[in-house]
Amino acid sequence: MSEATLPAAGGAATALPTAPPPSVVVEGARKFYYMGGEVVRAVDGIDLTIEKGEYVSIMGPSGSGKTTLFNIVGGLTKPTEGTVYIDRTDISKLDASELAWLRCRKIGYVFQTFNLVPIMSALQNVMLPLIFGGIERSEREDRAHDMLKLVGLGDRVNHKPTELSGGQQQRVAIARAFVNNPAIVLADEPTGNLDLKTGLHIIDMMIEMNRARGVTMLCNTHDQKIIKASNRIVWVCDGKVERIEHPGKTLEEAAKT
Amino acid sequence: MSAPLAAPAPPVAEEPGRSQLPLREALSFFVFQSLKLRMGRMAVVLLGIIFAIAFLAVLLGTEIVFAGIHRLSAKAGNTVEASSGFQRWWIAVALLIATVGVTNAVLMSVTERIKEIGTLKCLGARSLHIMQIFLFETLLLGGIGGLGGGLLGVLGVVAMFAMPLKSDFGLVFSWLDALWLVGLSTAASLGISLVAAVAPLIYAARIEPAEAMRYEV
Repeated sequence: MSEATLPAAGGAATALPTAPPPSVVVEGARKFYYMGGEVVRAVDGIDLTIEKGEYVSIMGPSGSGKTTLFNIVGGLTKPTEGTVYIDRTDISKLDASELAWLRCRKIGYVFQTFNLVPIMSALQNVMLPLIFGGIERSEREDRAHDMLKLVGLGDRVNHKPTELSGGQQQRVAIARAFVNNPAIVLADEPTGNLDLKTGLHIIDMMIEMNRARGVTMLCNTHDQKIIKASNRIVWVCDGKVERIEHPGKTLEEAAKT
Repeated sequence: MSAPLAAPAPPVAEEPGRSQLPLREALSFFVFQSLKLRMGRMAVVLLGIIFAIAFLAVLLGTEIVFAGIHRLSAKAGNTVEASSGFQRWWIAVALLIATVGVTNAVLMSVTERIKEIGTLKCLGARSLHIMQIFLFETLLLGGIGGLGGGLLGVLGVVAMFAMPLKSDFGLVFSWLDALWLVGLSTAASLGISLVAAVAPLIYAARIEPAEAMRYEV
């Protein structure tokens, strides 16, 4: 994988000297779509640095460019302009197969619609990233089992998605997102299709995962509870960062207490 | 940054590599389960392949039998008219119909799984892996169809000629001819499956994960 080091003037300047390099650095990202001769500026110049272990929420009205920003950070869409570094790797310089490897080992995804593979059991779904990641056969099942136990589904490993409730499906998806020990997990409206109580459960689980495993979280949400728990909220409007809020403690504050 | 957040961070794989999908997993996780799930439709496609290939096998078998009769009569001093090349047109038409049927089946299988393909690409699958999955599915279908069609074709040849030719049948259509016919049928079936799969496979490989996620079935 081609590694590109951060430019000296990068967003990392704000980090403490001893701190690990930031998980995500977005520099001047722009994404234009061409629809019927008109240019849609979905993302129009966003700079964003996300520290390791940080829990960042993205908020904004629909059509504001949240999902596009999300896809850019997740290596799912290439920006028209600008650069994105994930763990110091410039992802615009990666070819298709390197990008696949990055998605596999460094990024976990949680979707609003769960997106489990319908023909596979919960265990098989959680094993998928391990297969693609080249983990030994003997190790795979144990790790997937442990992960499902961690999200409280140890007794439902052989159930197919259709035999699970929405909340249970999302827990399988969380297990799948975290099983490869990614550097960052992207959650796109993870509670959008769940009722309030189940949604709270899922949120607690993601916060717990973030705290316990030090995994960077980027969450696209409307949920008040997630917002309160996050280190930062990035408000996006018309493809630009409108403002950034610190609802909870920042990472430095949290580290001091 | 010290205590609670940084400490338990699990090691992240730094080594460069390529995501992979071993054959065993490709079959057990994807191909077999998918065919099982879509059994009804796959059975219809399979029947189509079997009949087209059986048709091919019967026509080719008939040519073998006629050639045999020709050989025997030449030895006996008689002349029998050889079969016409007209039949080959029918073979081409049958194979074409089978190809279109298989293409349609694979294309349907791809489109109804666009979201699944997008998910797999998010989890690290390469386009190559997606193509592999659908290729194996098609080849499995084509292989079974070819074998079944070849056997059915041999049965057809026996049914058509065993009675009228009586003991001569063994002379014009041997076990080796039957085996050759089944082998040829299977090869032909695998061939048309391969051709049929090209367009759907390219389509599946080009699916972008970001777009696939927004796709509503």
